[in-house]
Amino acid sequence: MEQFRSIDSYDRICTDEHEVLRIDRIDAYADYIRQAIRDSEKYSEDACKHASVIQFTYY
Amino acid sequence: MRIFFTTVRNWLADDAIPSQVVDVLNEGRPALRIADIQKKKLRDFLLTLREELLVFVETNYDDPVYGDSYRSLYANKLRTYPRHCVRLSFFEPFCSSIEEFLQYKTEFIQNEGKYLGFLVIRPLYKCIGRNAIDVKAKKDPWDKVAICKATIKSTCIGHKLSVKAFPHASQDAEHMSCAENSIWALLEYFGNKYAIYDPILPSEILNTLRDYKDERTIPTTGLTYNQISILLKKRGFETKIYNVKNPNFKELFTCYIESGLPLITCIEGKEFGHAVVCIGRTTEPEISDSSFEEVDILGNKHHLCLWNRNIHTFVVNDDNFPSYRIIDYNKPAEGYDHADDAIITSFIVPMHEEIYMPAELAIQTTNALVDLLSINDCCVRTFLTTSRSYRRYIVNNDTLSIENKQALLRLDMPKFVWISEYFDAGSASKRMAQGVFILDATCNTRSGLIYNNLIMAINNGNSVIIDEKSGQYVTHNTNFPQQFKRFGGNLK
Repeated sequence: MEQFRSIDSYDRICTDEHEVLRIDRIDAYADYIRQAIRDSEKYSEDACKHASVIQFTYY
Repeated sequence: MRIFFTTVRNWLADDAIPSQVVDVLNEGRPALRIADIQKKKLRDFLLTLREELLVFVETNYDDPVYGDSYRSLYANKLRTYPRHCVRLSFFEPFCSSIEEFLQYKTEFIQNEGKYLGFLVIRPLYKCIGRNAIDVKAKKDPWDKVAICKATIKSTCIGHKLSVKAFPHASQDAEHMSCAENSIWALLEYFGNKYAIYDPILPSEILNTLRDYKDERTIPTTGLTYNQISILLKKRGFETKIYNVKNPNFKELFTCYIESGLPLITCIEGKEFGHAVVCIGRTTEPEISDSSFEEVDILGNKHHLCLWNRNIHTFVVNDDNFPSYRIIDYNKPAEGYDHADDAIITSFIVPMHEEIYMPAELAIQTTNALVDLLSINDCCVRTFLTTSRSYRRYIVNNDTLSIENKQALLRLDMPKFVWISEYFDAGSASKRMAQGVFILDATCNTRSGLIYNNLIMAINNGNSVIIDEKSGQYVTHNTNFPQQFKRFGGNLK
């Protein structure tokens, strides 16, 4: 009976073959994500400006 | 205390029952006009419930929320306001009298699912107080909606019971406007659901914001979104505010709802400004050819159905209506006067402090991975969840082998993960997926590298991970199934 065992289960499910995924466009992806962060910050700034203007009080 | 027993049907059919309850509520105040309004509001609320439900009425109820407003405001007024409320408790039909009810053990009532929630009636013109109603008690859409739920404890004639619901109350318009009420409901939900948050009382909301308002706090004149955000931050949340100018506004709104995060939602028109809590959506979208669109990712066209763009009806708790109101995203203020032009213009996300990756970054990272792996003709569904929930899904997933489960369960995950599942149209209704990206929600790298964002991807039976030595993506042939059961979702 196995009392204590460490399993590197990821290796157990892998067959022998593997390949390094070639990301030819790594710079393009990096720009894409960086732009997403810049957009997010810009839209957040706009949203915060708007958020201080309207008082929500419908009754 | 007096106890009444009736059914929703009898309450609606016989005016003597609500009249008697409202008389007791108003404690003999000369309140003829207010009584009629109260009866109308109660009737509107009960009309949304199934008629066969049992109703137990307990008078002289000390409600903590109304009690707080009473001490802070109503006790100071010249006119007398009663201190007590009346509480209605709702049950599936299982007995026919109070005497019979008392023969049952609490465990039976709770475990057999007989208890469906409660409604506190305040002795005010806006009498709908704190309530927590199981969606199963609702007449119409209970099998159609999926919402955020917390376990909320209560009692009824000595039985200690609990109900799974999202808290709701109407505003009283003096102590609490829609903005304060939305904060209260949100914190009541989180405070009952997670030990790290606390519910809040109306006077605490006003006292906390005293330094952030230029004028007095009572009577309330409402709050700005900034003030709402400040209060949530003071109660342990990190917030994100989104505005309709964001081109992906609707997709982001849906993405957070799919993530099980209730959102304080602002609805604005030229003559209208209202805050509600969006707590869920109606049924899952039906995926058809028209659901697909050409998505441009770095110049490459991908034929995709974006799940979060295909949900159009949501469930909100609006403090001017009974709980669980279904709204059309494009007509969120239907039923209000002078609000035909109103749209959702902003929302606040109450985020856990350890979520650094916002939804827009999770979506863009997903898009980059979709392009990298040349995924096409699939529906992509992105949402946030806790690694605890995700691990529970893995361990109970009977479409994964023991080895698959071990491989996934040994992954190091932060407290929160973004998940993007993708599946073809044929698998949508079967709730199966062909692949998934597990993203690290603690990642928000400004370097823009997508490597760090990914914990693991499964793509048509193969896996993609980062090779720790080379720091590059490595794809392995694995024995993950070509299809596996999708995550059930954060909404119940």
